[in-house]
Amino acid sequence: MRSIKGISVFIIIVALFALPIVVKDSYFLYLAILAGIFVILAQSLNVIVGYTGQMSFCHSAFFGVGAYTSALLTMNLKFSFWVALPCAMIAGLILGLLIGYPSLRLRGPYFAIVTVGCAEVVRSILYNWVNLTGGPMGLPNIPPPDPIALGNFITLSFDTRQSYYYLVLVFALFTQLIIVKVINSKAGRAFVAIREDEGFARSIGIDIMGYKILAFSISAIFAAMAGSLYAHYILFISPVSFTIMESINVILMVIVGGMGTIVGPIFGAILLTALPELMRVLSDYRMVLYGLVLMMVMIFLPGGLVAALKLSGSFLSRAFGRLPKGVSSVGS
Amino acid sequence: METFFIHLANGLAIGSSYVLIALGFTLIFGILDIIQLAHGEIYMLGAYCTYFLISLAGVSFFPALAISAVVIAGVGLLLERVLFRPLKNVPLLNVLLITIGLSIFLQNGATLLWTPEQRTIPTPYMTQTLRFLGLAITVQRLLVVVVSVILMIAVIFFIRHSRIGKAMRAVAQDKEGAAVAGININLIRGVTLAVGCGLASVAGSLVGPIYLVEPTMGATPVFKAFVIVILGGMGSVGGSIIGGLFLGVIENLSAAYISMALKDTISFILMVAILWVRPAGIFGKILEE
Amino acid sequence: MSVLKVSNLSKHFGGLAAVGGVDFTVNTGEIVGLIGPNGAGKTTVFNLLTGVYVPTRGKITFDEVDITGWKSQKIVKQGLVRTFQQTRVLFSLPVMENMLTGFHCRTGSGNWGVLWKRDSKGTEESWHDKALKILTFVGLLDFKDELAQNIPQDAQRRLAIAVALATQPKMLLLDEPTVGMNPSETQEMIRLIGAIQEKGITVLLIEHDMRVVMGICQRIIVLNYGLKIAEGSPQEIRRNPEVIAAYLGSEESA
Repeated sequence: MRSIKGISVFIIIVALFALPIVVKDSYFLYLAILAGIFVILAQSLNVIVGYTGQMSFCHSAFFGVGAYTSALLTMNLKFSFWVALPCAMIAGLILGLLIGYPSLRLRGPYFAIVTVGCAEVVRSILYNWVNLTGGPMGLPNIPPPDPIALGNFITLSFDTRQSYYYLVLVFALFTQLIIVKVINSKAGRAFVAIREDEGFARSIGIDIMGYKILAFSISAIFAAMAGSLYAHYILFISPVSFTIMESINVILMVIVGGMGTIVGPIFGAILLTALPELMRVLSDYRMVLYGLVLMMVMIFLPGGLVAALKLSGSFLSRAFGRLPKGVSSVGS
Repeated sequence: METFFIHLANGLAIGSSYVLIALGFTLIFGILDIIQLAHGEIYMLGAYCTYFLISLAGVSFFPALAISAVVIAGVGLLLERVLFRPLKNVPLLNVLLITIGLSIFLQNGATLLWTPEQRTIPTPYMTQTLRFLGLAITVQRLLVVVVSVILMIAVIFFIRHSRIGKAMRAVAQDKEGAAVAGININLIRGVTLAVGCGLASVAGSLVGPIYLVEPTMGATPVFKAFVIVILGGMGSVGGSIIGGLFLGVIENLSAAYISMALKDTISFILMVAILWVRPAGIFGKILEE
Repeated sequence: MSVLKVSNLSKHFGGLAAVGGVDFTVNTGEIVGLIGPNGAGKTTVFNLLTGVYVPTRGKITFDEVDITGWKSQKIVKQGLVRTFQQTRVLFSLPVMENMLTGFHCRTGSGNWGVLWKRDSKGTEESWHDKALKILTFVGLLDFKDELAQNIPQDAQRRLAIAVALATQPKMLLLDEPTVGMNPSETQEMIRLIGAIQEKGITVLLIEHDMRVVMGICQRIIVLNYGLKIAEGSPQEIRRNPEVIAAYLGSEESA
């Protein structure tokens, strides 16, 4: 089973790299890049929400802070993108610790609502600090990543859609690798214990606050990274892209895909990026359907797509691993 | 100086509406263990109901307010029966997401049905003013405070002295014990949701003439209700009252004297600040067990 | 040699004293019983000892170290661990995962190692073996790959004890380990507790089943209304008029 898994992962990665060569449609590539950025957002959110069981609504804040930090550093201080991106990640980390320390002490629902407040405060700052962020007008003309020279003959530049696709793909794979490693590490075990029964985890010596902060920080760092990738692709950012609805969007991706699973968020991100575009016709109804879908999924299939696949008994189900506690029952 | 009192009065008015919303919210949480994030949409529906009764059916303000309250209370009963009762044993976090889904559904459904157009509930009281201690206060604002206070007293009386009220308190304290003692839990749940939604509807109807009625009007108030409840203590009626009035006043004063932009953000900042300093919330009940 | 010394331990909730000024000692290697009618404060004492509650007054010394007011995870690292009256384990995980989680506080791989070390051959394999040893010791070896929610209730109870043992404790606090068990399961539990004592682990045991208490405890401490009303050998306690009155009194009002 393990080698089948390994081979299929390899095939998928090769296919992903081959994609731009096979599919030439520019709009498709645009969607693929967006999907890649959202995969990073969804996977990072999954660490705190799916694995540690703490519902967080401030992912949009980390996304936004990462985007603005990276954009401002390259625009105002003429930093190279390749320096600005790690700086954005650090900014995300700082914000994560700032929000995490006082709020992770609280019980689940209270923590969730506090994150709503934090997301709103950050959005408000981005909106009102016009001198720094351009306020509601946003930041236009963000420079794309500067080219990297490898040796004397090869220069990688990122001003085409195709090249940016590869950039995002590499970062997405990197994120996936790191997060898988974390989930399978000792820390990952602690996360799951906290999610399943926090009082019990505490009673066997697990440092609850420490691990919650770790999970939250990891999610913040990668969300900020996604923000940077987003800013230097769309080349224009404004506070309207970093609201609580954006957080809910990512939460939906994690849930619909299957929270607390390794691949669920990937499905969710791809589906929810592609779907709205396919549903252009229904654009007015889109948000109404969103609300309905969220309710239906949480009521009938809290385990998302992954749970649906497992229930259908397909042989793939064993590849997806175990489902967390609250999601393994269908309805009640 | 005069402007200070006007801001204070405005703060008390909006604060009173917050109290009504927070009361319903905290009762629903205390008795059903549900954080009803669609509560803001209930408030919004109440406002729209009153609006349509007045503008389409020609009903006058107070009857419209009362009818809406009853209708929305009925919606609350329906919600309990159809949505919350089957979800009794679902983990809290899942229910939270479900109410968020409901909120999104209702907000956007309202946008589809009634367009994002901002409306005002027409009442004669907006143009009438009362001279009080040398200040001119809009009668509508006074009405908000007066009606809210009447309802607050009614709710307190109801919970303290009526049979159902006592049963509600019993359920809030110990659900299993209450059931063993013969209390009809489902009835209590229904009553709680009806009362909570009715209060929110009144809040929306009272505030509708002053501020704008539009599909997203419930989003920030429900969050403020939550902040109030964190400040005042989950399940605490007195805490909701003090917290609500306090928040309304602080909002108006900071908007007037510091920055307009702060008006909505101040509640969030307050909440985060308080949690930094007193992680258990003001009444110490929201830490991990 | 006292491993646990409790002096003037009190816990007040508002005006109510759940535990009011309790003193006792537990010596190394003993099995001590903590008994008393319902509501006497026994579980509250456990919660105080394990850092779930902070004492209003009093001092707790464990292994010569003052642990009063310490956080739970620090206390577990010191070697004091408890089980819960209502069995608590990680139900949706396999038994083996439960065990490995129990080892968590002992696998000191430092702050950053925490993010990598799990499947590295060297460390993990020995933990796996350690887990098998404990599972064999409590009689759960056959269940090692089963989900905890799918094993029988008394096996779940033993799993909770096994996970507690995984934290490598010096002293184990057991909260009503035999509640709801039939006679043969109770016998098994008695045997297990005896075997734990043989391993050198001290046991403090809350129990209602008097046969268990009288059978395996060297000493018994009796609480009522948050106060210690008696302490002594099983024979002494059995004959103690205050203890009898306390239990009869609670039976009358029940």
